[in-house]
Parts: sequence; structure tokens; C-alpha cells
Amino acid sequence: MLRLVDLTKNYDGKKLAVDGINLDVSSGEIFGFIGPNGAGKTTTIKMITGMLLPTSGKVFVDNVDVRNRPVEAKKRFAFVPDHAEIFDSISGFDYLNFIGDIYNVSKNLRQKRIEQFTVPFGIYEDLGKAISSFSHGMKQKLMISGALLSKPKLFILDEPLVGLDPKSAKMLKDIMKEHCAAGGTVFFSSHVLEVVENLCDRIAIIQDGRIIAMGTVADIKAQGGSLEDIFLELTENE
Amino acid sequence: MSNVIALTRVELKNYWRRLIENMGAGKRKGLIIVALIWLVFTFIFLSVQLSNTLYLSLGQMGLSELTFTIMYLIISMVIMFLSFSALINLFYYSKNTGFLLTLPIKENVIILARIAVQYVFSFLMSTVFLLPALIIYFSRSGLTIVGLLGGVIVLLLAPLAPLLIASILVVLVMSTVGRSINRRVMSVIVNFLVIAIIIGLQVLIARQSASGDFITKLLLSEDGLLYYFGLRFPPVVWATRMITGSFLNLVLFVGLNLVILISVNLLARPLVRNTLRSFNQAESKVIHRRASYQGRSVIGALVRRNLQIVYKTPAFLMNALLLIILPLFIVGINLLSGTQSIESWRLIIDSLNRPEMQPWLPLIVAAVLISPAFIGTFSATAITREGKHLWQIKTAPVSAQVDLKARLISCAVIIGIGIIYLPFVLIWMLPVTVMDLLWGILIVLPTVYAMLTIDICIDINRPILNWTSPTHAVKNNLNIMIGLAWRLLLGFLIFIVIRVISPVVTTLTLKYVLLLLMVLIAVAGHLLFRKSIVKYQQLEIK
Repeated sequence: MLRLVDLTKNYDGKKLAVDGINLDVSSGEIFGFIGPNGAGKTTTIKMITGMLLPTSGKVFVDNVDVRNRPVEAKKRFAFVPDHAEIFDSISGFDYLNFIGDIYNVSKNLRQKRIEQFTVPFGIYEDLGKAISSFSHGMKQKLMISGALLSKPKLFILDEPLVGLDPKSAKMLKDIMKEHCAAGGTVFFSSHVLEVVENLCDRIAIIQDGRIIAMGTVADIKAQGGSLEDIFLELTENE
Repeated sequence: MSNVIALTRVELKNYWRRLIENMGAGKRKGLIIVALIWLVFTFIFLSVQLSNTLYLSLGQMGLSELTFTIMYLIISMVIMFLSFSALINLFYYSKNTGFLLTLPIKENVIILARIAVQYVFSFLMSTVFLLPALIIYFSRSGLTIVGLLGGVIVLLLAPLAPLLIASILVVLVMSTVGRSINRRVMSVIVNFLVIAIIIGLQVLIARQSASGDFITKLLLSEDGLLYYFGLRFPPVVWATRMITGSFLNLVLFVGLNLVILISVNLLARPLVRNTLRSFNQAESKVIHRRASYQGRSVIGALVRRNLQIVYKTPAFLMNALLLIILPLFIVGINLLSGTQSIESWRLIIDSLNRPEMQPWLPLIVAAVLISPAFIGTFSATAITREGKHLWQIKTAPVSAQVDLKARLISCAVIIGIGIIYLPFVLIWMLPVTVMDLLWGILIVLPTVYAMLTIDICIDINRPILNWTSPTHAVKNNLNIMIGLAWRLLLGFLIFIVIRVISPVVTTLTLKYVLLLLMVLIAVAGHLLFRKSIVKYQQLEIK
């Protein structure tokens, strides 16, 4: 579903922010992308989503090249960034309708899905208000609801659990599992190793722009110790 | 005091870095800095020219010191006007206010540091205009020690009084009106109020100046002109006397500034508590809309979003409103400026109503209809207005072509609103026929298209996406200046074409030539626009 081939990003001509990453995420998989601050997680995600152009290498979403056929590729995924930088003078309904229009979600389907996601998140009653009056967590829930509106094949999230209350965090984790059970794919970055350990089918650890370990949680833990110990050891050794 | 200096230094550094970042990178940055220096020198040159002209004219009446008075008064008004909107942003819409309130610094430090930031800009601006006036005055009228001391003091203190008055006005307006109504509406109202006050003053001065009796009375009475200016801003009298060598007025001027400074310092703490803090804590009035699941086409949704960004953001809304009403504004000021203006206006209308002007009416119609697009470079901020929200469009399944088309349509809608009422005004004032209107519209359509597309191309090449306040997206934005610069070139080109061709061809041929020229420019704009789509596709969000 998601394939990165020799993906490289060089901002200033000197240091590589992302250095020849190769990975393949299959359908139905929850893939965790972890690494210390400044390791290249967000840069990688920005290249996957088309916000940044790779210096070299390719990104394929459902076998569609993101650079050559951006619109086709973007129809196949939805993205939730770590900071909810959205135009917030409009109402929650305006925002979700905008997403529905862009992803061509029919009126009946969008009503059903908006209710399906926003009611359990506890934000449905607030959708008529301006987003600027929402708390950080509410904005995050709104963006997640918007991303799920089009039932994307690939769901990409950057630090999705930041700002969510325990109930909503649990809900999001359930949504991610259900999405994958229905044949979808989830690719997310996180700092919370516990979540990654419990949720992911496979993980990749990135350090200084390179993947230093990749596999199932069990594979990585086979190196000895907890995921936290291995993560700290690997990222310190590099 | 050290906290004020530290905070001011940080704010200034932040402002400077952002300004430099906005200029772009590499060789282009160097060029833009050179252009900025050139701009400053142009202003200095203008100031020298103006001071020199004033000195020569006023010197003939034996009132050469009024050279300084007039420059001082103009710069004080400009500082007060510019500071008003700047201080609203610094006091009330600065995102770091909440953070600063958590620091172990006295609350008045925040207010004083923000005034200090504005003081630095105002000082640089006033020096550009006042220093040449002082040098010209001292070099020709002689220099005394008290005069020189007065000159230095006036340079240092000139921005203070208008700045402090503006800050008191800002807090008064915001604490009364600001919290009772929607912030967006309030921001627009305040800006229009300031413009109305400035125009009102101009109209008053123009009307009074037009009265012969008034001028005679002023010239006959001792210090008449000086006190006429001083009535509107008393420190101007003391400042003028001070540079002519009056020690008493020097003391008065310094004393006044000290009193205002101490008052602001005393007022700062309650001001922070009662307005700044509560304003930042207060939530905007929450309007609850009913559930809606209305669907639109992709381009419709994008156009709606672009228009919402303009409508819901005060700085952009002001920009759009000014563009829409600017032609009416100019006519209004002229009509209100006194009987002479009405008379001259009537003469212009009468001359345009003459039969020999009939063939030129289509071109006049075109010129009037183009005016909103010509004056307002609205599409030069079409991408910039998105700011940090652009990621959403970049990650959405929308092609660059569709996105830019939607931006073009959104700008055309705003410009269209500015144009749509003008034919009715023209029909009311001039004997325009349907054919004249059709010709005018034919010429206007490609011209407006060219302006919109070329401006968007400018913004695609250097968008500013890291702005923290919408005002920064439209203020200090060189894209707007570049947009205005190429319009001036276009205007010059049209002028040359008319001058060269009109003596040798009929007005009908001239109309065809102008139409052809505009179509060619529109085609050039279209080609540039298509080329810029690729550039927009490659635009990165770091």
C-alpha cells in the first residue's frame, strides 16, 4: 500500500534529513514510525503526503507515484498532522463539508460518517461553532474525523495521540484497528513507545534520516530487553 | 527597565528576522536589501526636496521655521495613524502575550516594550523626514546651542507624543468597543474609523485653506500660521520655538513628553489587567450554526474556502473592502473637500459631456472600470493568505491547476464586486451608450485577467507562508509592491501607445489597438500562469 524507494531529502546541500529510506507497508497493516526528535520522521511524512519534494527516490501509494500522479495518489490517503494548523474561523461543519467536497463524498454518506465519528468523539454538538473556540484535543478529533470521512485506503498520522484524552486515545486506537481489519492501512509516527508496542504490526526506527531497525515488535524485542531499552540503545549507538 | 530593553530587543530581532525571511533567500535577498536602501534614500531625497521647497516659499513670508513645523506635523500624523493599527496588533493580537504574562516580569513591562518596538520604527521614519528639514533650516537660518539641543531632543522625542496618544486611544477603543462586538467586525470598524478621522481632518483643512478670509487672518496675526498648526497638535508650537532657540519651550516640550511617558507607565498596569489580559482570555462570541451537509463541486469548495479566508480575517477583509470602495472614496474626498473641488469636479464632468469627447468615452469607461484592479493588487497575496494552512490543500487530492483556478476565480469575484457598480455611476454621470460600455468591458476583461494572473504568478514565486499575524501577510509584503510596479509600467505603456497612435488614427482604430494590446498582455499573463502551475506544484511546505 505504501512503498518508499531510496527516499532522500537534502535541505541545505550538506546534511541529509532523510537518507535513502526503503520500506514497504502492506494493506491491513498498522505501521509505527518511531525515532528521536529531529530524526527525520516528519520530513519523511511530508514527502509521503506531497508537502515536500524528495531530493531523490520515490513514494508510491497503492502503486501510484506521489510525484508523478499527485491527485490520484492523494485520493488514496488522508493525513492528520501533529499540529492542527487549519483555518479556524469557520465552523466544524464547514470544515468537514469542505473535506467532503474535496474527496467527493456524497451528501448522505458524509452525514452518516460525520455522525459516526464525531458523536463518539463527543464533538458533534460543537460542530456548529467556530473551530477557533475548540480546544487542542477537539481540533485533533475534528481533523481525525475529517480524515476518515473519505474512508481512505491509507491513513497517515503524525503524532496522533498528542492532546487526546484517554477515552479519545482509546477510541482512535480502536478506529485504527478497525480500519486495518477492513483492509485499510495505517502509517503513523509516535513518541509513545507503549502505544507503538501494543498497536503496531510492524515498526521502523529512524535515526539521523536512516532506518536503523525494522520489523515486527517481536523481531525487534528479540534483540533483548524491552522496546524502550532497545530504542534507547539503538538511537544512542548511532 | 532592563526587562523592557530585553523584551524590546527580542521583539525587534524577531521582527527583523521575519522581515529578512520574507524577502527570500540567496542573491535575491541581497537585491531586495539594496532595493530597500534605495527606497529609504528615495524618501530622504523627497524629504530634502519638500523641505527645500517649503523653506523657499515660507522664507519669502519670513516664516522659514514653519518648514520644520509642517514636516513635524505631517510626520506626527503619519506616526499616529500607522501606530494605531500597529499597536492594536502588538497589544491585542500578538500570539505571545499569553506566554509573556506567565514570565516573572511586571505587567507594565509588556506594554512599555511593545510601545518601545513601535517607537524604534517611528523614530527611524521621523528621522528620515525631520533630519533633512532641520539641516536645511539650521544651515540657512543659523544655529544656536539651544536650537541644536532642541533639534536633537525633537528628533528623539518626536515619535513619543503621537505614539503614546495612539496607544491610549487604542486601549480606550478596545476596552469599550472591542469586547462588546465580534473582533473581526470591530477590527474593520476601527480601521475605517481611523481612515474616516484622517480624511475628516484633511477635508476640514482643505475647506479652511480654501477660504481666502481665513488665510488673510492667519497671515495678519502674529504667529497665526504656527498656532493654526498648533491647534491640532500643541507640541508642534513648542517644538518649533525650541529649534529657534527658546529654552522655555524646550523645557515645556521635554516636560510634556515626560508627563505622557509617566502617565502611560502608571496606566500600563491597570491597562494590562483590565484590557490586554481579559481580551486575551475572553472568548469570541460563539455562534452556533445548524447541522449542514451541503455538497459542492471541488472548485466551488475551494472558491468558498478562499472567500471565507478573506471574509473571516480582518486584515484581508479590510484589504478587500478598501479595494471595492476605493474609487468611491476618491470621488467622495474630492466632493467633500470644499466648493472649489465640487466646482472642478463639475468642470471635469462637463468637459467629458461635450460632443467632441464622445469617441473617447469607451476608453474613459475602461479606465474607470479597471481602477479597482489597478489600485488593488489583491491577487498578489492569493497564496500568501493561506499561510500555515496551505498544507491542507497540498495534501488534498486537488491538482495545482484546479487550486490556482479557484484562487483566480476568488480574486476575480472580489475585483468584480469592486467593478460591478461602476457602470451605473458612469451612466449617471456621463452620456455613455451601451456600445461605449461594451467597448469598455471588452478592454477591461483581458486587462483584469492579465493583472490577476500576473499577480498570482508573483505570489507563486515568493509566497510568505510563515506569517504569525495576517497583517504581516499584507504589510511589508514586497509582492504587493512588485504588483504595483508592473502596473505602473503597464500604465506608462498605454500612455505611450495613446500618445503615439492617437494623432494618426481614428479613435475606433485606437480602441482596436488598445484591445489588441490588452489581449496580448492577457495572453502573456495566461502563459505565465500556466508556467507557474509547475512552480506551484513544486512549492514545498517545510
